[in-house]
Amino acid sequence: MGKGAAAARRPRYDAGMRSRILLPALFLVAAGAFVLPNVTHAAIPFFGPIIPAGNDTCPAGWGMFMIVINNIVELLITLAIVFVAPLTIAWAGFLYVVNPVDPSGMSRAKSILWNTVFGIVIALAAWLIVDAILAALTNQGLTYWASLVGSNGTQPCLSVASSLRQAAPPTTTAGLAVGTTPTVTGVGAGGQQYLSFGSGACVATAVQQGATSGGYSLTVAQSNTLACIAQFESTCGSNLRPNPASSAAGAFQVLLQRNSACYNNAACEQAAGQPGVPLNCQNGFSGGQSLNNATSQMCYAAAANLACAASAAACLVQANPNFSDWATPSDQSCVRTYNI
Amino acid sequence: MMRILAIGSLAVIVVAAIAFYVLAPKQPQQQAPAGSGAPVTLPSAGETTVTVGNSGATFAPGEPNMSLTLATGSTTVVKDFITSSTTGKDVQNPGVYYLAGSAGYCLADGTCPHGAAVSDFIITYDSSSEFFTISLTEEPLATARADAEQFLATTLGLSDMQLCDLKYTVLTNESVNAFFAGKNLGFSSCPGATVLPQ
Repeated sequence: MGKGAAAARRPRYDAGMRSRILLPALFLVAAGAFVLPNVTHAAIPFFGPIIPAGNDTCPAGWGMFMIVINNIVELLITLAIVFVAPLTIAWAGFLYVVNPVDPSGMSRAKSILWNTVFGIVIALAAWLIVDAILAALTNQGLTYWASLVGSNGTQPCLSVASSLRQAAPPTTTAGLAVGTTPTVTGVGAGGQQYLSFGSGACVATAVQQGATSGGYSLTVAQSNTLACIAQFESTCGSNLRPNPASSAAGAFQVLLQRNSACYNNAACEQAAGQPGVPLNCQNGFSGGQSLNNATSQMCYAAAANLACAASAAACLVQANPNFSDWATPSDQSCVRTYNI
Repeated sequence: MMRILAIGSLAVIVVAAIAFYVLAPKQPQQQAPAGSGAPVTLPSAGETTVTVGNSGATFAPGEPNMSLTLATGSTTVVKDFITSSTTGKDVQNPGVYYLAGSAGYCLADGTCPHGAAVSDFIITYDSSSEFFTISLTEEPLATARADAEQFLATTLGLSDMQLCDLKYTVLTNESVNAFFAGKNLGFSSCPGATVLPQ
């Protein structure tokens, strides 16, 4: 009986090899299935932080738990792809090199290589696999899995009664003052924390108080969102006219012409020095450009006042609670992070 | 099979632990306060200049100065920039001052609040929180930040390193640079500062 016949009787994979392929594959599916809710905005590779910045001082709720679980899984998959996979591929290559004539060594190298490739593919496709199976079995649609394993809009932090001792705000590092990471400045009636990203319009409590003086009310989340937006739009109200020709004005760069009605409020009238008289800023602009007349000058001056700017912004938020009037990616990142 | 599972789990835990140790963001070491307690005034003893306060800032005799609370919680004495002829009041926001740059609006009487005439940055000071906001308004940001640092150091009578202890943020607008907007870029000589392209 020749060698060929003996080889033909041997199965290509024995039971042990099947288990070696199956177990890692199952592990990767189980792990990878958690990942995709966050991949849409966080993406792999993910190197942390595992605890989301900005929520690292509050008592963690269910939303935070799910975010942290997702982050850990993302980190593990990143490590598998970035560190483990290259090592196993290198090991497979080494086995090929040192076993030029040994079929068992070459077969082992080949199986390591394929296991690695399949593992990565399965890990990255796990979300689709589980989502598709669940969608077929439960008739809940393709978002069902995301709702089960994602934070699903749940508040990351637990509400803490204002009478209880609050978490200490992040300490500022000498040399880098507050601004990059918001500091907690207080707690609202609902237990949600007021944030500060710096000074002036970047302080949520100041934004909320300003809007109140104009007859508008903002929630803590909306105030935090606007305070965040002020960083990008006006560097916290320091640079009020980054584009001097535009009718955008104030800490939140609300357009004086298009949103003229939002400047007709008590705070803006007070800031313009004409209480009870609407500003009607549209009369100072044409085609979005300033006419450089008394009206435009008065409107720019009024919009420089934080209470007026906050009131105009609150007016827009009231009309469009999803903050669609601030459409840049940075603005929308504030909305996603803080308007929750 | 159990052996493989156990070894695999152990390997994952070890790799995760190592990765966490290596990749976890390190908290920068808190600097010791520049000083403690109230600033002290040393006798001039006939010198032409006198050193005042724990900041080490030097003032000519009789030169107006003021106290400032630092990020570390201690206080220091700096040149009185509030009453400086170049500092302008933000009329629309009482308590806010423009040390450099324009407020971007004019009043009915024709006056336009502004600080010192500069082109690539704006510096405001909020007296209620003793907080400086430095807005970089032009590219290149590295030059704008260096100009702002030099201006602030001269105006306050502090060294570059002493600026690090101020309550401050260095920002830029999205319209100037979308990538660096919204980040506290810090002063260039301070720990943790963002390195900006020249």
